[in-house]
Amino acid sequence: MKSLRSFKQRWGMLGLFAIAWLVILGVCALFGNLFTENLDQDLKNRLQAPSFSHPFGTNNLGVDMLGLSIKGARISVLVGLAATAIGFIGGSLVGLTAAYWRGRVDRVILTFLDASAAFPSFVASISVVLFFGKSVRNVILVIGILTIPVIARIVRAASLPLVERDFVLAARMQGSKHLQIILRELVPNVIRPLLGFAMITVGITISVEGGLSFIGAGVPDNIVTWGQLIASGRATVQDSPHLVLIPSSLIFGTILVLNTLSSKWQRGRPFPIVKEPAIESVISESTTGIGPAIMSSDAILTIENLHTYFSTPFGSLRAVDGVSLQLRRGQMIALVGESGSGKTMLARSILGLIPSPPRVAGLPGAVIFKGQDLLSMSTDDLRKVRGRQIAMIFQDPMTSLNPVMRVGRQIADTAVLHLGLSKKEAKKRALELLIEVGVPDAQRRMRAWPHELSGGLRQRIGIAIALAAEPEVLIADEPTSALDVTIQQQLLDLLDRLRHVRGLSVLFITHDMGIVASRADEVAVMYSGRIVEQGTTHEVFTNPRMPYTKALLASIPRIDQVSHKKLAVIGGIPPIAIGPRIGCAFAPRCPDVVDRCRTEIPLLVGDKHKSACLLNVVGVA
Amino acid sequence: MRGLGQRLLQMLSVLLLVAAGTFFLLDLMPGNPAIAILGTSATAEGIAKVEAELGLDKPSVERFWTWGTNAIRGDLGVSYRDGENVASAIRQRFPTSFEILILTQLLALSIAVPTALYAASKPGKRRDRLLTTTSFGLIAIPQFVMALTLLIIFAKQLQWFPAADFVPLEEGIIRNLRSLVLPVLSLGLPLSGIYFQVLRNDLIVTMTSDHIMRTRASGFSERVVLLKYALRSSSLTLLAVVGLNTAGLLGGVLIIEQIYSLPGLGRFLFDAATRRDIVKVEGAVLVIAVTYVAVNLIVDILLRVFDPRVRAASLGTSR
Ligand code: SF4
Repeated sequence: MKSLRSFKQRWGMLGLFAIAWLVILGVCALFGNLFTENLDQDLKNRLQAPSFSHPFGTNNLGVDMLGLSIKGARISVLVGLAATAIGFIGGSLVGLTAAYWRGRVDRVILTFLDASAAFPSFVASISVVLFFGKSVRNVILVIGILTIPVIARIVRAASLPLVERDFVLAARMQGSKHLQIILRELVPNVIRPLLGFAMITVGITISVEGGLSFIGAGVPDNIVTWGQLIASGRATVQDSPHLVLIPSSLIFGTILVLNTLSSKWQRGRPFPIVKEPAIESVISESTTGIGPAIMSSDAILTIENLHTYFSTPFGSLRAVDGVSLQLRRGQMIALVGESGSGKTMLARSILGLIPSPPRVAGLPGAVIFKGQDLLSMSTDDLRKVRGRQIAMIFQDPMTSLNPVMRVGRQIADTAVLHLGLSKKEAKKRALELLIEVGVPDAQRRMRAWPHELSGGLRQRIGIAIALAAEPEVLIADEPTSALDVTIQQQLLDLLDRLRHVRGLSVLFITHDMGIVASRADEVAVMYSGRIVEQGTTHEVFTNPRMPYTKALLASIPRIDQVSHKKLAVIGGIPPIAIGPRIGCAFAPRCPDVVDRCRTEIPLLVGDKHKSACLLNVVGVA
Repeated sequence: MRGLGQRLLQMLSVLLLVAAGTFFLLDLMPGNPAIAILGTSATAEGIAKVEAELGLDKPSVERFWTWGTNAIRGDLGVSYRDGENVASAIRQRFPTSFEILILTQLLALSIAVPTALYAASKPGKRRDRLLTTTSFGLIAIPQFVMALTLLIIFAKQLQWFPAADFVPLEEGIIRNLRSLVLPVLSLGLPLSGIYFQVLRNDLIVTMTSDHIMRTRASGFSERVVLLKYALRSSSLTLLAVVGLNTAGLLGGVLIIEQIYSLPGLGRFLFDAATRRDIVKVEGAVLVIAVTYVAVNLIVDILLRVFDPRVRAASLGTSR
């Protein structure tokens, strides 16, 4: 009983039905001939509609259709499996050859594949069967060969990216034999999606066989297949549609069942279901000791005890776990942390850009902008804030611009949306912005596509889009980390200038302590979804309290150092925040760890300069 | 446009490959056309005379050259069997097949695009699951099953549409379209399932991309994001798939043509092949291949015009 339930969880109702269908089909194909060898004609009971004694009715000779359908399953399934096998063996050979040797070999094979797509192959296969004679063997061969180019294309596409991967290149360097590399490195990696596709192919080949028989170029007349049944039922379709509809539904059902299973197979094994941890208790714990952020009069953006959890099959993932932060007018706060610390999720949560699900709804937290809580706003109202009052700059200027739109248009669109400008005015404004963010030859660049620009220029465009609707707050999510150092400095200078000229407040997110040193007013260090140290830049740099901050500071490359290698590398990786929080999240990597760290959770304490480390509590309090 | 030149070259080699492949394969098949013309009682001299008349005594490469150069001028030769001019025979069939091709693509697209947008607007929700399941069902229906079922329901039982009397376009567009409703539905419905899945899947991936996130962060509504920004790039993927379906719809719809008695290229090819009418087979295959290549070239050019990524790729790399 239990196993049945877990089975159902894996495959779903539809999947169970599909498996049952296939099992019955398999039994019919294997053993059906035992009791359908001698199906009697019964001329008195011709063309009967389905009834109790003949569930599927009878045909024009009075033969029971149920028996015929079972009998037909044998050859139909045989053709489906055998033809698919031929197609896969041939197609894999061709596809792997093309992908592995690439270059000229690939081009020649591709031309052949293209030619096969331009060739009316169905009609061709009919003529071939008719020419060489109708037999099961010929039908299988023809359909199998017909399938080769389709499979070859898919195998080629699936293995092409693998061929350039390190493990294949490494095997090549070591001088392994080609065949060995293909068999050991390539085949195992493409086999799974291919098996999924093979299921679909079995369905398709069964239907092609039906088509061939239907046209009269399939198996010989004395052999029963589903396609043959349909073909012979056609003459009497007017009065006895069941003769056509029943075998038709059998083919249809089989294809549907195979496609369903294939899509479930390709989606892979579902994760084991883990019980959700008790979120409530975790939250109440994490809120204590922080207290509501003090509202100061010139605060423009106040984040209060913000939580962003994602529901995963393993439990809730705590991306942002009770963060409070206050940004004042004209201020720049640097939010520092390595990737996975939750800083990007924090940025996206501010503007409500993470949909729920997967975001867990109903968690505490508020984002107060000019006295209003963005998190409890309607989406329509929130959209008037996005871009208009709080704008974002994204990390990768490669992917954050729309690749199929000219850059001028992308800037202008935002201006049209929020400022109600006409197309022409917006264009003018876009041009002004391009000049302001320092894009040379701006007039011409208006009509450029993103891919025509360098990374630095693209990020300038990203900044121009962010500024298009005159926002007051800018959230910059690692805007320079994809760029090289010189460009980085130029962009940081630009942001500095814009900030002072326009009086912008900036939340600057980065993993690099070094680049914030001279620019940010305040630094907040984030680790595993929480802020672990926070204070003025000067304070944090000269007097870091938390070991993680110290490690980050130590990893800044110093100009006077000959080598720019990172000085202190923090070992390990940030923990995956699933399950109840026990102890300090940094404990596994912390050089100063003591026993208490593994059981007690350090709270963020302090007045101006806050930190969350058990070792500091005594000294500070 | 260096990439385009390369593409043209590739297309030409595809054409050459199809034409030559068909020609030499047919040449290998046993069966002497001269005997077919004169009957089995023909004398050796008679056969030799006819072979000389038809140029069959020349080596096959030379004959292919003659046939090919004539074909470029639009002359596809004369059937050995019934003396029919192949080019003009195909010209009679082509419009019907082409009409079916266009109507089918239009139908499939007009079903697939709005439903895919609707499904992708709430991925994983009920509407999406319902439509996706339906599309799976549509794809699973073999052409002839669909055609027969529609025929049974709408032509035989309800009698809304004619079962099998095709009306050519010249005899009035309304009657012509009416006679094509069922065939086009039989072809277009399964195809719409495929297009739906291509577009829906691409839209859902696009909707999670960085640039869409940026568009959202700029304050655009989900509707605008989907219809204006995501559809723009996803429709280009669909366009490429639409182009690939051309040859199949032109010469591979034999079953539909049979069931609904349509005078199309598929039946022409089938009749010619079963009667070993070599010249007609060669002609029909060539016309289908040319159309396939032409449509895909148009798609290619469209992609180049509307998708700067393709342009960049074809300029930057060797492919
Ligand atoms: S609480 Fe313990 S483990 Fe955490 S940072 Fe402080 S010393 Fe390290």
